[in-house]
Amino acid sequence: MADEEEKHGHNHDHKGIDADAHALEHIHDHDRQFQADIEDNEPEHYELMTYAIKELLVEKGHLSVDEIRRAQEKLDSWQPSRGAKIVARAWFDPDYKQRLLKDGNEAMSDFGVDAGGAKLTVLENTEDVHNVVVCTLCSCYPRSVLGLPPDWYRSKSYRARVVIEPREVLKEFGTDIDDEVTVRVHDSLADLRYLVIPKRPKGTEGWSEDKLASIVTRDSMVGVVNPSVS
Amino acid sequence: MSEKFTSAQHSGRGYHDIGGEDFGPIDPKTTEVKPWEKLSIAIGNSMGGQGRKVINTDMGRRAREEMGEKMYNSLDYFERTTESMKITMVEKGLFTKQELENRMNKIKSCFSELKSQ
Repeated sequence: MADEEEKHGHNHDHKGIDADAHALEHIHDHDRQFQADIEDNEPEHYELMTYAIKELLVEKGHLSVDEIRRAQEKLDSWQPSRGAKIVARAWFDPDYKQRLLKDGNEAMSDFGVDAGGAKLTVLENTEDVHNVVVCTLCSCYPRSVLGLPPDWYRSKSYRARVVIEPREVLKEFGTDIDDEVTVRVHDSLADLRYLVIPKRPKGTEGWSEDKLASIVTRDSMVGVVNPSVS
Repeated sequence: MSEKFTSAQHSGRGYHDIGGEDFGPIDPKTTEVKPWEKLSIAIGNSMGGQGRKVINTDMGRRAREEMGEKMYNSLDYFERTTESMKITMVEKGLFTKQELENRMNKIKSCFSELKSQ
């Protein structure tokens, strides 16, 4: 420890969080490029692998730290609130809804959405049809408008079951679909993602676009629940 | 369910192709994406279609579908994503398995050092 104290030029109390903070400083002294996020746990195998991949790619010039930072910022900007704004516009403006249904990528570019080459298909829930989205093969999801998929969407239970017993699965989400309503399950692909326009609930007549957006949830845009006016 | 095959090497249904099976009730609980998981996705995106275009979604999918049933089933979503990204990057010659292993050990020892202080 003596050499470290000398290096930092001051004494540390090597206890608890302070000691960890000191150790982090020490790590930075060695030009480590990762940050320890969690003080208490040693990183798991794949966490370590991620840090190692990042360091190697940067060192070898395959990627810059700035590119990774920008990719992380972009990822942070992908939120369900973005999808909610799109749905609210569709509810508010019938012409926009037609554009969305015709060509999702084109219409969503109004909101700065770049799906990165994947086709975005928009499905409209009506009095007669209820749409629900899954990716049975992995967990393809319209990330640019909904963010990263939630745990249940990634789960084997959802992936496996919603295609064979959608009404039962929807019931588990508290959604009862009348027998007369057709339930359509859409299986996503790497190159084809879906966004559901849920049915606009009664009691929202005269609402502004912003107010409409406030009731559009992530799960309603996957099709497992219907938005409601609380 | 009959034996599953690795899709790209054999005909038949791959172990990832689970539509129609029964895995029991869906757990509606959601968890926050961890910082390293987000980092892994960001690295993949910046090397992929939205960035340097060195890798793409199909390569990742292929790696996932060939990593073997045992591994596929033992990893969670973000672990699988990271594993398939690693496989693809090693195949592309961006770094070797040995380099990665060495670097992981080095980082691990830094964390251990951190803990022991």
